[in-house]
Amino acid sequence: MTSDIFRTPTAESLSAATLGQIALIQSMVFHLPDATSIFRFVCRGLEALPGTARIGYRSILEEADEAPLPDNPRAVRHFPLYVKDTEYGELWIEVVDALLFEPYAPYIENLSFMLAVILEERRQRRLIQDHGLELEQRVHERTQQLEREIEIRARAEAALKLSEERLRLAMEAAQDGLWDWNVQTGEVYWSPRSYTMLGYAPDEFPMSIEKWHQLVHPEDREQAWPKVQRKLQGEGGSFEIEFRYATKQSSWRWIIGRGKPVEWDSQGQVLRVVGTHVDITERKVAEQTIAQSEERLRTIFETIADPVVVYDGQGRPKYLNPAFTQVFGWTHEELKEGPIPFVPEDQLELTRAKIKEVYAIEGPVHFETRRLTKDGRTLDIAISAAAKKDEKGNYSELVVNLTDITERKRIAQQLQQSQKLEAIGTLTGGIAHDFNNILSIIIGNAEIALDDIQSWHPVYNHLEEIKLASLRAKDVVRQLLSFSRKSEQRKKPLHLQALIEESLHLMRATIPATVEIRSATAADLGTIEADPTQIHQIIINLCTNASHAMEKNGGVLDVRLSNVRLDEAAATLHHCLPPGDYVQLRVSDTGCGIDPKIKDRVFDPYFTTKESGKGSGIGLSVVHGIVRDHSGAIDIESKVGAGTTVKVFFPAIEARPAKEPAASRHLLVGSESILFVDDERSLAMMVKTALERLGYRVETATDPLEALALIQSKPDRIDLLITDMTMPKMTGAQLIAQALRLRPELATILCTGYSEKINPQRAKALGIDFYLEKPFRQNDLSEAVRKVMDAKMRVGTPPPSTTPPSSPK
Amino acid sequence: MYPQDAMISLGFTNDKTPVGTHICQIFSDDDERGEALLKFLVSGLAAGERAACFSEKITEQTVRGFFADHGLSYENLSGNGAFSLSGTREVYFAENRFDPDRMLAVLTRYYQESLAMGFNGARVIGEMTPEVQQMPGGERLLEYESRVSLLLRTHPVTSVCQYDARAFDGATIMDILKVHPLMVVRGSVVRNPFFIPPEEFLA
Repeated sequence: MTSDIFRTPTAESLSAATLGQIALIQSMVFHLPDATSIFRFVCRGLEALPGTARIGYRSILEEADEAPLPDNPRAVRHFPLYVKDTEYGELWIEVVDALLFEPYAPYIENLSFMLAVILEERRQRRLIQDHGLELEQRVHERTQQLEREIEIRARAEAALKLSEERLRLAMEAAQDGLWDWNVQTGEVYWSPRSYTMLGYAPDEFPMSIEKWHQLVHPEDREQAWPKVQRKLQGEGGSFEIEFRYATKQSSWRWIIGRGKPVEWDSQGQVLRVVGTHVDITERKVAEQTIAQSEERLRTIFETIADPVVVYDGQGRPKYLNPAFTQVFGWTHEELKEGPIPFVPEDQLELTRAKIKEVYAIEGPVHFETRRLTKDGRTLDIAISAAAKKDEKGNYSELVVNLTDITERKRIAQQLQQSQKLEAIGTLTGGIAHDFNNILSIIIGNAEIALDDIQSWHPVYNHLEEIKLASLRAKDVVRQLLSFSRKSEQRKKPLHLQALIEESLHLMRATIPATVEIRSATAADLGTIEADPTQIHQIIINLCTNASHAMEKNGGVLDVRLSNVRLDEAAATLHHCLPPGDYVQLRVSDTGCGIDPKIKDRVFDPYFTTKESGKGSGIGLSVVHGIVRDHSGAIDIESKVGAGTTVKVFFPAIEARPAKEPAASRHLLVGSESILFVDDERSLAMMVKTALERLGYRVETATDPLEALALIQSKPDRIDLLITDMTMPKMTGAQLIAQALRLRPELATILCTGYSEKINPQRAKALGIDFYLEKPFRQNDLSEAVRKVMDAKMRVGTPPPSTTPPSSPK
Repeated sequence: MYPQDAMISLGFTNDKTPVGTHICQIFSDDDERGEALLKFLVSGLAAGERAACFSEKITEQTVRGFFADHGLSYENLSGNGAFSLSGTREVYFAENRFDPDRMLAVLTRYYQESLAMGFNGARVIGEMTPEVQQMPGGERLLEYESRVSLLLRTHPVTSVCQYDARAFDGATIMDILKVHPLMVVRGSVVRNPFFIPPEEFLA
């Protein structure tokens, strides 16, 4: 089986056949999948080549079931297959007839070259394919890698989504909203919670940055937006802004917005900002409430009269209220660095102990102590202290309220003093009666004795001194009663000169010899309406103060009386007195003077700068009260170290003082029958003697019941009943009342040393003819008796006659 | 009916080919296979021939669409017997064996029926599959192909035998070339320089 083209080779046919074979083989080989198929295809095609026995191939490309080479190598023609430097193997042909084969040898060589080209092409294609495969593999691997990355990313995104979902849930649980702002487009994503926290349905409106500007309160936008802008301009980091959002219900909700840029473009411009919304309205309300509470507390601290100090943990004052500065004098600026130097040495131990107690009992501690002021005064202080804990439970502040109780304590002392004085007054009232009885006995007996001796007698002057001393004692009792307001005011037109002279005379003995007493009185001194006893007390008190002021170094006590006319302006200066004429009493000293700081307080009751025992602190207060009762005024001018002048103004009156009847040496006499009743036997005897010397017939009784029986038994023998007020069994008033029931025409005189139960007005109301105060002098008694009896005489009895004293003088 | 020396179009080449030619197409590309197959069928049908396709690699839907694109009705052509589509196994491996005689009888009958049915001629395209080499009777493939060349001298059914070069060994491909007088090379029908006339091949 051989082909015609091989069997009859010609130049043309060989060429055409070769070309056809090459073209066919090349085309076919192109379709064959591998080198083996190609070799086998070619070898099969060349099997009938003339002059050949066998044909085979050797491939270096792949193993194949190659035909073994013939035993005779010389019969084999080798046709290597190579292109350039690449060899693919060879075709070998066992030539049996070289003559026949030789014409085809070039074609076989050519075919071999073509096969090599084809194989090279295939190799290249395979390489390309391999490269393609490698590329594909790489692409595949890369794809897988990308898929893995995508998967990882997807998982990460899923995890992120889960995380975001958890965050969202957490945010929702926390009632917080999320937002995501695309800075370039202005679009803003709002989580559902962001809407609902403002009362809107989720996605009720598309959120945008423009909408944000609309929703935010204008005042808050002005301070919040610049913060956001700074972040957009590259400041970096996150931001936190507080603002109010308008709700759907047209109210405002306080929001704290936190945000952070998370994406930037290549130029660093922020593309995306994300953040959260937290509704802090409740917190804001609470803060405002706390702020209001603190403001209220601060207002209270700022306005209360009590000083308040808030100490920090180191004992430094971190807050002082205005009252503190007002009371103690220090400002916070002066004290902020250290402890307040206001604890007196003797109060340090108490203060330390109380501070310990504050922390020990964990409650407020109250105690009284003393504190110093910046200007050195000592104040009585009531302290309330409490410690305040911080959030961790540690003590962080000590709040101390200091109440200035100096005034309260002083008033309490005054009250105590007042009660003491009240007791003294009661005591004074109680003893005044007895004391006046005693003085009455002394005065009366002294006068009787004086009547019995001549004035040249050596004893006369001594008796006179006894009498004067007794009269001064009488005034002392009156002053005591006046001081305790237990004496009656008896104003009358008065000329002060005699009163002043008498008072100075009396005071001479009590004023130190180093003090010179001067006095002067205007010639035409006006008259005032005054209670002499009280005026006397004014002089005594003022002069006593003046003498105390000069006690150490002596000086001059100058007492002057003058007339002054106060015009409207001057009168106003003097405590708003009405303009007019006044009598001025001026008491001056050259003593130590009054400190200006206490000048305003010298009239306060019980205020004194004197050492204990020197004064009660009521002297000037009594003076002030008396002057005020007399519609006058008092003024003090003083200079420390130079002395003090006290001016007292009394309204002048037109009336002239009634002339005091001179103590007549001629006593009024009479012959009437008198019953004198007094439980003090000595007094009864003294009066009996005195009256009998005046011509009266006198009977005495020391028991009112006895006296009443006497009146009853001798209704016509007694013309005048003189009785003491305070007696056992029956008062003098009761005795007179009963006596008058027996003898309505009976003349009566009631004497009293002191009794709260009777006074002149009450006596008159009881039908008593005369009220005579003890102690009385003989002329007082004689005038009283005569006055009463003469009045009775005008009704029905003869007038008394005046007789000279029975005793020689 | 075509005259004895009529030149017909194969569809996939501009060259005219004598009616009843036995052609081999060695391909290594599915598109090359499909294009040749469809164009061959359409060309014949368009020329009033009867056409048959034996292939496992083409679907009815593909054929239907290609026909439609060329103004042919698959249904009509199938209905009037002008076209038939069968699988390789169904035709070549009936009863699980390859029987060249039966196949030659099929071709004979097919040609006779086509003439009887009034077609101008008949054409067949079939793709042999490598399994034929394991099939009983498979060793008679070259015999069959060579005998086809003989048959076509009396029963001129224009026949194209498609072989997938990717599926057959190179030596087998060369053997197949030797039993086909013409072959398709790069879209052209050429005389096969390796062809061995059936009388010689079968001798």
